Amino acid sequence: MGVDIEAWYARYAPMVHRRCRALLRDDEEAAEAMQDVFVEVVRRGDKLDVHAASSFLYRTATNVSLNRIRTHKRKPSEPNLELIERIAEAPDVEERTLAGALLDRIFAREQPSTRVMATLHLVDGWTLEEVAEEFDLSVSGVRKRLRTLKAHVAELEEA
Amino acid sequence: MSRDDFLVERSALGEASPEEEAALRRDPQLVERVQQTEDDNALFHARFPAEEQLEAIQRKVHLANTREAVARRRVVLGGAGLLVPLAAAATVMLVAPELIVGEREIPMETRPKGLNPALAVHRKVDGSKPEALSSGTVASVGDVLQISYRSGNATHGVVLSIDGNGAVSLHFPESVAGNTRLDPDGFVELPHGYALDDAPRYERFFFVTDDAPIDARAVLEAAQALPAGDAATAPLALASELGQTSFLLRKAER
Repeated sequence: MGVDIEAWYARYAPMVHRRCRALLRDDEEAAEAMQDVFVEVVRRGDKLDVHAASSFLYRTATNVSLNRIRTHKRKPSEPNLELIERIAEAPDVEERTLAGALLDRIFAREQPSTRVMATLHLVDGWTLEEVAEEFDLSVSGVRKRLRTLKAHVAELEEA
Repeated sequence: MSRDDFLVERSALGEASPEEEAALRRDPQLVERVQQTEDDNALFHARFPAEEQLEAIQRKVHLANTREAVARRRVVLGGAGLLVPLAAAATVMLVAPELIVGEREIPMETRPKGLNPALAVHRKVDGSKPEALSSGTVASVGDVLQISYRSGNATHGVVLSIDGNGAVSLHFPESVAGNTRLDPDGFVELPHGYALDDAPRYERFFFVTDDAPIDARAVLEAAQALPAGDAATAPLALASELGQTSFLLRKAER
């Protein structure tokens, strides 16, 4: 079943915008990020699981915002400003080659983002179990990914 | 932010499970937040009308698809893509001596036909005719600059600058989602002047051009990715189809 983009916008865009604004603390930047999230929706098209729309959009909004914080050196929201910034700066464990990323896009494979997991757990306060359920992973799998990212964050802190 | 944010959102959407809904109803603060969220939804749609936003989204989709098609061709070409960084490195070696003596625009790409795209920078001086600057000119904190471009044989372009602190500023279009179409008539002034801040050593302007819409965000990312030691000399790591010209202003030592 395909995505009715107009219906999705009407239903979910406010949530996406709020999530982006919470991380970016800038209305205009959040509006740009919100558009980018829906660009993902349009491009994934029929391959999206329409039964998990809010979950997909919330995660994508988090990921897009972290990318913007990293790319534009934006200052994220307080009081977790430094933590969010360090998470955004850390490389995703799944970051791979351009060709690999392209193949993922061609085949609409969604790679779970460790940075999004870290934001949900360390910033939003989700439990490991909740993060694991959200990403359909084991708790130990989530813990392992976060450990790797925390090491990068620590390196950034020391640098 | 808190762990309840997503629960509040799902409750406002009517997607929370019965158990979650029951738990939420026991907390008056969360009930109030759900109500606020519903009120905020109406305000959002007044501020960001669907028709306008969906048009902007479709424009971005088109740009992203174009960019991906170019990347896909490069992957298919395989080793050909490897030539790009090598060619770029060679360019750096060739232009670096010019930068040492300064005073000239850095020729980063020569287009085969017609006028080349170019940047011009004028320094505004109160009560006087604006002073045309050459690449390599020494400028000072507070100097007000007027940037102009000549599109030459390109139809689209992005103008940005990077300073000695590595800060990147987008000058054209006015936002990363803006239209990159260039005005074809001679030298065209950008709508806003630009006052030099106290960043050290240099301010380098780039004019990236193509004959198709350009993803300004990708150009910004390429500028931000320039290593600090190379930002005054190296080209941006962009697709070889894109033209690049740069204009360097040295900063007066204070």
